[in-house]
Amino acid sequence: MADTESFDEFYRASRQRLFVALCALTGDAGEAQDAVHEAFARAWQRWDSIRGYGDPEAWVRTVARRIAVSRWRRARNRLTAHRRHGPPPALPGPSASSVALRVALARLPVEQRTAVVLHHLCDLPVSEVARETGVPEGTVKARLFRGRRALAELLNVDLSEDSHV
Amino acid sequence: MSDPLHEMLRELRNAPAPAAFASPAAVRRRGRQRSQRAAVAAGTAVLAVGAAVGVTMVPSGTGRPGPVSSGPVASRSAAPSPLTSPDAAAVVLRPADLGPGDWEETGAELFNGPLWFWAYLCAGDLGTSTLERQLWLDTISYRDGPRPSPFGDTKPVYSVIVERYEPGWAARNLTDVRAAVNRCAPDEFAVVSGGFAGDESVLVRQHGDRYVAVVRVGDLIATVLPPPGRGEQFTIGLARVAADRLS
Repeated sequence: MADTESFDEFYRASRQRLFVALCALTGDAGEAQDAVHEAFARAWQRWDSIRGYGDPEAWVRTVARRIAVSRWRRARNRLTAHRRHGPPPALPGPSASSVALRVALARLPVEQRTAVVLHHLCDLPVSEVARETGVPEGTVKARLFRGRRALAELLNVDLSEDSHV
Repeated sequence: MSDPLHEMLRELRNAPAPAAFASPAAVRRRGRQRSQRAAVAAGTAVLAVGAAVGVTMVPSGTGRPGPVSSGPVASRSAAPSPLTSPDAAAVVLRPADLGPGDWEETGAELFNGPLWFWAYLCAGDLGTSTLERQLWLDTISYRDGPRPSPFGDTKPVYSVIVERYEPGWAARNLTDVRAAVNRCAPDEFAVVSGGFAGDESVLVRQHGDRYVAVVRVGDLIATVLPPPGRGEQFTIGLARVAADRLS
């Protein structure tokens, strides 16, 4: 398969999944989408190498996460611009439950939020979450347990069958 | 898992993006533009290295960390750094710096949580008052050859973290590095030397045989992380290369 064709196929297949993960991590849909675009642009720069990786999506996801957290540092500038120019035009909003979930995710410690997003939204097994975040599997399990419990409290939902992970 | 939380997470998977995704061709074009900009930046850095080598061969500093400062310190660098965007790490550390090897960029995480490498030393206390002045951070890591198994890295990994701070605040952050090492992890880490590169530099020895070098040039800070066993002089050499490219 040609380089261009394989990249385009990879991009179309994984961009929504990565967008959702970044959106859940950052709480900012616009920032998440731009971070995903930027990460894929960087992937294209190195596509000869990355296409041979066992999991190219893991590379893009990690890069996108770094981009997103780095840009978070510049939020002050955006707030300044917001005050100067007024809010952006209204967009069709997500559902009420999605908004509630995003708000709840934003209140989790970043380590718990990352574990929940990678495991429950990106479908990574615990072992892969551990590898991607550089911590032991037991730590990931603890973060998932605490993260889910905190989300349940924040969202007022019952986790009576909470034996997951 | 089939609970209300699971259903909410499932719904989130279909959340619409705020705008249509860029076409694959547009993403590839953006990638090409990034490559062109990086090439220009690298060329500028090479010129800067040549100029620095031509001007001075004298080590900077006295070999000891400087005094603790309480406020932002102006840069001694004569010219602003060309590294003005958060794509700096690949310019500062390159495979050719690491010697022979089948170097491959890795996606390894260098740290989690707060965007400061040294934060984990100080449990429950970030250990720095300057992080809010950090403008951006970029990292890159290289491994010699592909990962041998999906369950761990057994090959050495070289990394660099590049941070940019608001004018004057990088010097104060370097002071925070020294303070975090001395205050939070004196049994595991120790500042062993400084003043070997850039405007300021610090060499930290980790318990065992790992060294970490932190070098400041103007408002930029590079944290150089060779694998254990590469020794003090190799780490200092890599830090000097990084400092030249930051200049």
